[in-house]
Amino acid sequence: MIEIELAIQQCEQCGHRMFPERLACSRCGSSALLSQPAGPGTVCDRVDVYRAPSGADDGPTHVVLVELDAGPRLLARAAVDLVGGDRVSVSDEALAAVAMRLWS
Amino acid sequence: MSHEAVIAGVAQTTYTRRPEPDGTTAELLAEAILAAIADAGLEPGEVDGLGVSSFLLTPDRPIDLAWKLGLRLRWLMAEPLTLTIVQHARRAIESGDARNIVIVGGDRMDSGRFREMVSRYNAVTEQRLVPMGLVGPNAQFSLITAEHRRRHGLGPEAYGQVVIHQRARAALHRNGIFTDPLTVEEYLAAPMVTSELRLYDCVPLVTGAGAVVLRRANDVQGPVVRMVGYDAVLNHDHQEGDGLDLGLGPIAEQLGVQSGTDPTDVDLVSVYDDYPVIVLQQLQELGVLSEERLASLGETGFGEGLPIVNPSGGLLCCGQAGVGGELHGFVDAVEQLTGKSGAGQIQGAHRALVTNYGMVLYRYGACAVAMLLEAA
Repeated sequence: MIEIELAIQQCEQCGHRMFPERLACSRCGSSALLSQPAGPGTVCDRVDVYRAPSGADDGPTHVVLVELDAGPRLLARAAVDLVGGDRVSVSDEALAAVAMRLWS
Repeated sequence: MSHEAVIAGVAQTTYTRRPEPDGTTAELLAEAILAAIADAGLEPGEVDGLGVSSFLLTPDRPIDLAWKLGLRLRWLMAEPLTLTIVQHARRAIESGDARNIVIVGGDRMDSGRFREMVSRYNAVTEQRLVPMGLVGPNAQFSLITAEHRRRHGLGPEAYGQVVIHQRARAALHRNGIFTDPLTVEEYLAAPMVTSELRLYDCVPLVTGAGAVVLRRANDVQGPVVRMVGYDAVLNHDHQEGDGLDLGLGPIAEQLGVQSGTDPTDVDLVSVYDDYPVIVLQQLQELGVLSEERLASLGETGFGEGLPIVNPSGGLLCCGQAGVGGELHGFVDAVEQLTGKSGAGQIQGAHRALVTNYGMVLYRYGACAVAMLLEAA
């Protein structure tokens, strides 16, 4: 499978970076926004969701809060067992943000 | 010419976890509307304004509801944050745009409709959260609870005390759902919904509705409630913070300035309680719960030295009637200030602070609203 890196937005005017997608920059208001790769980030925290509201039990969903080096904080599904402090890359799998461990 | 607006009527339908299969949200809202109109001493023909908070009235819109109820209107508004409707209604009455406004909030909920509602909550949810397998905001509020817990060095007991307190209150309320006394041990032993949240940290879904009526003060005899302060922050940090600055600090200051009083000098506080962490964070920002009190909350619990928090038992123990949850605490406060709370009546309740919080755009609620109320 080819991995597609998650895309974030960068404001052409002030350089502010955002995720998820907006229509204008949250810092300066400019609507000139460019798409760029999310780049690496660090796991801030991880939580496991045991029960879906539907009651369906597909096993726990591992969710991580990732702070990208580029700035934005986003939610991603953890593809592997991740903990706070882990360095990760974030791919886009059919719109699902998925965090993978980066080996440095 | 300006007319002071007051809250002159209030009603809440029976809450139920298992609604009749053939009922509709429109019928439910109608029941609350008609009861509140009667409570305000009005005939439906005298109502000229309608405000609606509901997700599941669709495909009907508020005007369809007005039509089916035979209401001829000059003023109509729909918005999930009910307190903002109340404030707009207050201004409409002051300015003369309307004279008698009824505001209703509620939804006919079951787990299928809940799933549909939370899956299509907004475009970002549909496009970015549901594909990750996230339906509903438990993951987001788990992360916020964990951050709050670490920041203040709290154990899970502190959050449990919110539930324990609200259980005790719900036992005195006609719409209490979780009313059995709960101990810290039982709270800690409850099934985990996420690695951070226990079953009792999440609101049960109910079908139900509430309504209030605003009128000109000069038109009304009998007990009414005055609105003496209001402010809101909507999208104040662009979802770029840590979710633990709800924006209520500056709001509390505004309420103090507008009312010329201390907004924490109240008999009761109705804070939006989708999760215990949000109850605590709101009480902290409003200035009701000090850092020292928070630190010892796990052992001491609520009570002594605090206003009564969520006197009905709140959403955690009465259930969340869809977006009607945003009106629940307001109805509770109005009932308390007009002596209509039955077994749970707080003797001499004179002032109340009420909040709305919510609209989880991506990682946490984007909106916080508060209103200060006084019995008159």
